[in-house]
Formats: sequence, C-alpha cells, structure tokens
Amino acid sequence: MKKHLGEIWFLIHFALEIICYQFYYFYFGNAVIAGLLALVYDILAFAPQLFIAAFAEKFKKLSCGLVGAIMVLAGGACGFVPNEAVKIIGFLVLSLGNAFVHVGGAEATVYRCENKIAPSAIFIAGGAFGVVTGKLLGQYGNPFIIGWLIMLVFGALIPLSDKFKGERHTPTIQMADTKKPVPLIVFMAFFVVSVRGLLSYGIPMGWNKSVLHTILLFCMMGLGKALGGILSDRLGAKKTALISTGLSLPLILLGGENMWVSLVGIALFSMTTATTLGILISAMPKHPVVAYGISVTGLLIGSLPAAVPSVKGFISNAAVLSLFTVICFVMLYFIMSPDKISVKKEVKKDDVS
Amino acid sequence: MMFLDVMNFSGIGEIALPVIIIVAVIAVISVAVIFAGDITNRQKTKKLIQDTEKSKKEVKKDDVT
Repeated sequence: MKKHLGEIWFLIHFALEIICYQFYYFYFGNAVIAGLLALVYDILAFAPQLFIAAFAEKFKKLSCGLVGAIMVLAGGACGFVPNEAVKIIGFLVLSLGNAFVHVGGAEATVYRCENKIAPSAIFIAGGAFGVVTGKLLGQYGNPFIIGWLIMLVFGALIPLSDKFKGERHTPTIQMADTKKPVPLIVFMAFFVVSVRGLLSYGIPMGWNKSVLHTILLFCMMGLGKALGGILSDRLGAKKTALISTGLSLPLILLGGENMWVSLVGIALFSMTTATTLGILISAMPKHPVVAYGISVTGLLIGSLPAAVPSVKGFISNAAVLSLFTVICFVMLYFIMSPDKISVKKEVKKDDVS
Repeated sequence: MMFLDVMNFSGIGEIALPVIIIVAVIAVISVAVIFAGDITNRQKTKKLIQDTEKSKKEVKKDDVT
C-alpha cells in the first residue's frame, strides 16, 4: 500500500478536480457572476496552500487531506440545496477544501516516499484528468451527484493513506545543487515555475477545436506531469528537465496547427512540474510540504499576467516562449545537481585514472 | 486556473509584453551575474587549493633541509 501512495493520491486528486469543476460548470457555468466565482475559486484553492502547508508541517498529526475532503463533500452537498446563496457558500467551502486536500496529497507523497519524486508527480498528474472530466460532466448537464459520489468513494482512500502518517521520512531527493545558496535555488525554481505557468497560456493551439481535442490536451498534460517524475527517478532529474525543456520549445512552436506534434511538445513541457518540485524539496528537505506550497504559489503568480486582456499574436507568443524557455533552461542547468548516474560514471573514471 | 479557462484567456498578452520583456532582461542579467560569480568563486577555490598544496610541499622541503 505504501508503495502505491502516488497512485492512491492520483485517484483522490482526480476525484477532487471532478467534483470542483462539475460543481462550477453545472451550477454556475451560465451565471452572470461566473467569471468572479472562477476567480474566487482560484484564490481560495491556490493562494492558501502555502499557509496550509506551513500549518501541516507544524501540526503533524492533523490530516489536511481528511479535513479537506470533508469540506469538499460538505460544500458539494450544498449544491443539492435549491437556494443560490447556499450553493455559493458551498462553492467557497469546496474551494478552500480543495486547497487542504492538495496539501494532504503533497504531505503524503513527499514524506512517505523517501528519495522518489515519481509519487508526487503521479499525485499531481491526477488533477489534469479530473479537470477535463469534471468540466465535461458539468458542461453537458450530467447530474452533480455523479461527481459528489466519485469524491465520496475516492475520498475514502484518505484514511488508508493516513495509516502511514506516523512514518515521516525527511526526503532524500537530490536534485538541487545545494552547494549554491539555498535562497537562490528557491528563487530560481520559483521563477521557473511561474514562467512555465505563464507560458502554458501562450502555447499556440489552433488545432484545439473539439471536445476530443480538449480531452487529448488534458490527458497529455497529465501524462507529461507523471512521466516527468518517473523519468527523473529512472534516468536522472537534470537530464529529464533539460531535455524536456529544450525539446518542448520547437515542438510547441511548430505544432500550432499540428495536433500530434503539439501534444508531444505539451507533454514534454509539463514534465518540468516534477523536477521543479523536486528541486524545491531537495533545497529545503526539512520543509518539503512548504516547498510544494511555494511551487503552487509560483504557478498562481505566473498565471496572473495571462489574464491581461490582449490581442493574440503568434510572433509575440513565440518570442516570449523562446526567450523564457532559454532562461528556464539556463536556470535549471545552474541550480540542478549532476545526475547520480553521471556522477557514478565520473567516480569510476577517477578510480581508473 | 479556472478563471483563465472560463474567461477564455489565451495567448501571452501584447499589453503584458513590455512587462514580460523587462522581467526577461532582468532575469538574463541576473543569471549572467550569478554565472560569472560562480565561475570566479570556482577559480578562487581552485587557486586556494593549489596554493595550499604548494605551501604544504614547501613546508615538507623545509623539513627535509
């Protein structure tokens, strides 16, 4: 069971995003204040995660996941009340509960999976699949009870995960070059996360015209996020981060009208999520949940400039994408420690000489 | 981000472009400075190690004589 915490939290995260997105699209999709509610959701679901993470580090016995799941289910249940005000209050509770569940997942996967980033990456990947499922369920008017029951079923996995709550191992992931100043590593990783958050809104996707395309897009995003962690553990994080960052740029730019090229580029682009989280965790191993909170905050801040109403232009997008990808590449190269595999080879060479 | 999805925001804004370029220039300069600092530090450390080894050898020579 402990070996599969990543997969367990994948399912919980998947269910969490289903209930949140279905609630929103089912009840408020056509509401006048739909935009405002979505903004409130983002603020409540993302902004408090850093603070909740710090809280979770201090109060080790508190199960953020369970608290969050109860809030999400209670908030979701308000959707069944035929009163708009109750529904809005329920949505606010659900949004805040979302933040708690995220921190619970981060805590479970970073503290109990020792030197592996894959479980955290798999947990994060579940969200992409949940977002698209919930969105489609809500938009097509499927009864909200479906999403609520999915959360109830998968939320029941949280107490199983909490069985291992007593086992807290300081993560031994070594992705950051800790010879360099830790604040600098944290700043650069934060910068990379923010920039990647922003760039994700600049990816040209002229091919995305149908529901099937949207499903494929989200699936490749999720797949990329999970693969980023798995490959980091198997091949080495630095190699994975640099190759995926470098390769994603031409594929994304060339794939504006070519779906398959673009999808591969997007999967590669999403792979950095795991490595930046790993860098932050290895820079501050005594506070890995806070490290997760920092990456979420980076993502939120990075997405803000994308909300500036603008004329869409391919050239400006391409220029910004290229410039920032190069900056991210250099920063990742600088703050990441050499992969263990290559270090071993170097040691062998030294032995021979 | 739900808000950006709902409001159909896509594309990195042209209005935001000057801000983005300023941030990028600052980032490039800071990365260059940091790299330069790192290289200088490495060279300093290397020189320090070499000097230490040199002085050790000299001390040994003095002991022999």
